[in-house]
Amino acid sequence: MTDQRTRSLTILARLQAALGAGIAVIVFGLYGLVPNLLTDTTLSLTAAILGAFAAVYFGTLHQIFKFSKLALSTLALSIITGMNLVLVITSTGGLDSPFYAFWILAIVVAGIFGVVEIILVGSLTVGYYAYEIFHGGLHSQYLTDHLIEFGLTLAAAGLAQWVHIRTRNAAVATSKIAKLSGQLSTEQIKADAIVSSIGEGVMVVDSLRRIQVFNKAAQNLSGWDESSAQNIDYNLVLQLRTTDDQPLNDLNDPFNEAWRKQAEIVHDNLTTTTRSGHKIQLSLSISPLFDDHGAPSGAIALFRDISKEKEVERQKDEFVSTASHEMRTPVAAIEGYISLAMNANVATVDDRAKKYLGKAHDTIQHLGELFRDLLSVTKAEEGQLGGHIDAINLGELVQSTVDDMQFTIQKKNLTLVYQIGGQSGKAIAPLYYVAANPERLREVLMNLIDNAGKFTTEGGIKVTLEGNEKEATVGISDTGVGIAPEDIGHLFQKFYRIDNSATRTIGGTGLGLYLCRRVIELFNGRIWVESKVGEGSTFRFTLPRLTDAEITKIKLAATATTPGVTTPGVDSIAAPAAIPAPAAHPASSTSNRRIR
Amino acid sequence: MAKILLVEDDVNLREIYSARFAAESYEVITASDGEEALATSVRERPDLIVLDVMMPKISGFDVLDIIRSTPETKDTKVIMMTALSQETDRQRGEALGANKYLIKSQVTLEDVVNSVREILGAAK
Repeated sequence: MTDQRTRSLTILARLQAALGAGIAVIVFGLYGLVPNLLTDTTLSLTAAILGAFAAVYFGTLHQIFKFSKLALSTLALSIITGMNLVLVITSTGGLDSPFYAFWILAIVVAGIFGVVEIILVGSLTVGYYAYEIFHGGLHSQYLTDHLIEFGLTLAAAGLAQWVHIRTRNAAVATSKIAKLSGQLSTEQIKADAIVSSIGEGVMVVDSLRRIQVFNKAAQNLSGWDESSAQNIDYNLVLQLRTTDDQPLNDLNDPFNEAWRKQAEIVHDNLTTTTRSGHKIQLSLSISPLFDDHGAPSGAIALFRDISKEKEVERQKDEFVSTASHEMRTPVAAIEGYISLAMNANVATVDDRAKKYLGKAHDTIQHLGELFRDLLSVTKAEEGQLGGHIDAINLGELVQSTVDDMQFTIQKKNLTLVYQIGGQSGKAIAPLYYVAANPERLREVLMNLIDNAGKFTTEGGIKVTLEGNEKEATVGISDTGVGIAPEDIGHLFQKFYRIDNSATRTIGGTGLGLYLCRRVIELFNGRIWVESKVGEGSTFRFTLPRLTDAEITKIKLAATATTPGVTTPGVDSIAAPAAIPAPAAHPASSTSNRRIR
Repeated sequence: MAKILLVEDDVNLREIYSARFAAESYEVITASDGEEALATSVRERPDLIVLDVMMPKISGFDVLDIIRSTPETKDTKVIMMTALSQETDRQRGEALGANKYLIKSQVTLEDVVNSVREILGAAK
């Protein structure tokens, strides 16, 4: 039942009570004041009016409330009331009638108990009415008494109904509240059950990183129970440390990071010390929470023990590393023997055999490269790829690498040009210093130029260097086959090779660009590609530029640790602001180094 | 004719380098571990020692250290060959007085021959 209907019914019940009381008072008053007024005619008229009113009254209720329980009881009540009026005319013994006492009780009870009782009372009334008609006939002497009875009955029934509705409303309201609070506690129980049954540690902290929720898995993992962890700074509980076993500070705190980035973050290189002093590696993901004004209000952290996974990963890397190392020796032997066989000073073979040996040599070199790349990847995964960091004059490094690659590219009848700031040739290059390992960076460049050469059949390769105050960008453009849009997204993934007939003849390990990305990202740069199928591709990478102060600092650190060791491609800090003449590249013996 | 002492524990690589150096008309003597290398270097007085780093018994670094502190061999040219590509290893080799430090995975047989020529040529 809707609230509106309940309200209407309440009003009607009140009206009914007021009406009944009114009729009783009026009739009683008239009877006392003007006895002569009450003739048979006026009484019959009153009876007719009241009957009509009863009909309209229940008809309206019936219309409005259809067949709801309450409407039915009101309807039946009205019918009975109407009948009572007629009963008055037939006179059953006035107020002395034993029926009346029973009847009024039934009416009161009916309002409370509803349909079944109404039907019972209705049947009794109808039965009694029929009996009276059959035995008595119509008399009018008790009319006045019964009019008063009618009014009182109506009033009593209305009051009863009103009280009933009120009680029921209160009950409904109470049950609603009970139901709602029941739902709430059910939700709470559900949420608690979910949180506690999650296999991962769940921790909710407030904006001051104090623990609010700490689930079962979190408790098992850390050895802290929820009540002792409650309201304590999370890091006193988890005692997170980086892989270098350094405690976290405000700068690298993952919660601060999540709030700063306003996005979920994941770390899988943190360790925690359990309450019993056991060290475990954690994977920690944090979702920051914000209030309506965008200020951090808390965060939800999920974490789990990944010590085992890390151990498996380490064993896998170790296996790959060992296997590659072990297999390299026989590969080197095969390569060496083939070289000997092809060397006219050592052995004699006919031209056909020499051709086949040449192919075998190329293949075994490719195999060697594969092992080398696998090792590099293993190192990258272990975070050892970087090597020592130096301040590098990017222009000089690019120039010397391009010079080195000239021969290889020209052999394919392609051109290789180096363009600085839109001008080709030996333009005055601005000095772009970046922090990186020169050998690694050179490998990246060689790899990109070599790749460009592999996928280009005619035209040329252009290497560019541009920069602004913050970063320097190197671009390697070719006029080759280009890269399909669906491949671009995967290009820098491990072992991804574009699946077309070209790759089978071109040969590669699918690791080169992955390693390039790892190296560039290691030095805080970005690498990406722009390409159009059939027109060519441009690979670009940027590296952040160093300030003069940073250069000096790195230089000092470098000279302090490696006295007398100079690195090719690294300019002296005191060099004039012009590009130095391309240095005779000292490492021609290593010019075949590739990450392919 | 320049004399080269080749110290390499892998029998195949020993044969390959020997044959290749011989093709360049160098006189080649070999040793398969550090102890043998030290004994041979003092006895034969080679012009150049091509020294593998990863060897059983005495490592190439230790061999180089002893060679440099032995009066008979302290000026002998040394090329170190290794699978260790760590920058720190290179620095260690150079600090110990290696004339050249080659990383096996990064050089071909011909690169090694070129390095040998370069160093022996400069010595003459």
